[in-house]
Amino acid sequence: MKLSLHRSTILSALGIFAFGLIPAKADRHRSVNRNVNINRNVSRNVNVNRHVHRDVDIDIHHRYHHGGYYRGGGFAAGAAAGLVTGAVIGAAVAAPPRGYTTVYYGSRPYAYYGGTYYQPGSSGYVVVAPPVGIIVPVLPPGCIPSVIDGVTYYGLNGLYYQPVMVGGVVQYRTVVL
Amino acid sequence: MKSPSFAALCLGLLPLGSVSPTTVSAQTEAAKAPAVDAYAQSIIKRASEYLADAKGVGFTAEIWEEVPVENGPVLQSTRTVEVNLRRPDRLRAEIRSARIARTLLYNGKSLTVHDALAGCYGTINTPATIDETLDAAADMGIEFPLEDVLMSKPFGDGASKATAGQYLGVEEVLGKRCHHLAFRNESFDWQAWVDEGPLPVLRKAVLHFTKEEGKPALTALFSNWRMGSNLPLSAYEFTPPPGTHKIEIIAIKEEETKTPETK
Repeated sequence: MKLSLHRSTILSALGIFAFGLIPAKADRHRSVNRNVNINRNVSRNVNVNRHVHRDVDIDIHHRYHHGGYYRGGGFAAGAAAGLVTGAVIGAAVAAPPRGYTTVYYGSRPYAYYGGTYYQPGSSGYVVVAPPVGIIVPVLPPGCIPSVIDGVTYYGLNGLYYQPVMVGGVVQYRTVVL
Repeated sequence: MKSPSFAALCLGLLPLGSVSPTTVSAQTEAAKAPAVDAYAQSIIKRASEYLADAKGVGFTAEIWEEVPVENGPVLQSTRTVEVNLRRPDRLRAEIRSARIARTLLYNGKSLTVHDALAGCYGTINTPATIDETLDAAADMGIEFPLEDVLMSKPFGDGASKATAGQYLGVEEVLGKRCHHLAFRNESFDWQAWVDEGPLPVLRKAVLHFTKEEGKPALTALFSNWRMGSNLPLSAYEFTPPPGTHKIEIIAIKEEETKTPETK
């Protein structure tokens, strides 16, 4: 809150100088700019655009994964992990716990929280078994590591996870041992 | 209190937005003027060339990044990045925060990502230059922080493709007098503070992603510039610490960045 006040003060001061002028000019030149960007090869060279955007995406991804303090369920600061560990497959819930992460298998989304996977059901959500190969950002609490042929796996209730690197960040993929 | 010139400028700007006949000539005048101020362009170009000409570069950057949150305040994340590079084919970036300890190492042949907190690392084969490697890594979903500063033409493309640009005078950034520049590009606005002294290094940068919801900002403060410094080549090689596991690097799939479907 303090931050946004501070920023708006600075920007409103700046706005008179910079952003009061720039939008008018930008509008005039927007079509020119668009023509340039239609060319894929050209736009590939617009590094500020491409790289910074992706950088932001990845880092948001990253924070979700390591922070666990907010996600699709809304603002959930301090949500305790592991509350629902051990939920029974097939159990129906109104909604996944606050702070869940949306993970994908192919194009199918799952809500993931504390080692439990949810999918939309007839009313609300249903606890489901995860597909083999789905990748989750954090291990369920209580996983036990075991090393097989030099590879470390993390197991919980008969389900095993193998660390893999996605987007430069370590995540965990379900495997069959 | 703001200076009177501030108010004068405001008044001066007002006619631009109006459609009264008396301002038509002013508008025509403004339309003819280049959208990107030449002085701003020249300063950013000089800073870019200075950075590009250095065969070895090192710097520290403190990065603040806004994250809009559904039903919550905009959050800000912080990380520190220590970068060293040797043109054209060595790059090392160490990213640190309370919950990140990641090192990206490019040795001219391969890129290793080491996550010290997880005790894991992964390696991919890469092309022969930093520029190509940044692209190849990005295709795998691996981003180097502040890539625009690392390229062979640092932020030059962004400046040359700007649709608007302004020179905003001299400001101090952490006690250093800097030229303050502002640019608008197709999907982001950006500002740069370039040292006013004989060595035109970047002291601060701010980006606003104008196409994203909430137009989140990324702010970076640069310090400890080491122009011409060369770490030994061994600094770009990865030696796994004892107990570190090698793991597979997987490309990010499209679906993983999509908004979840609602049923």
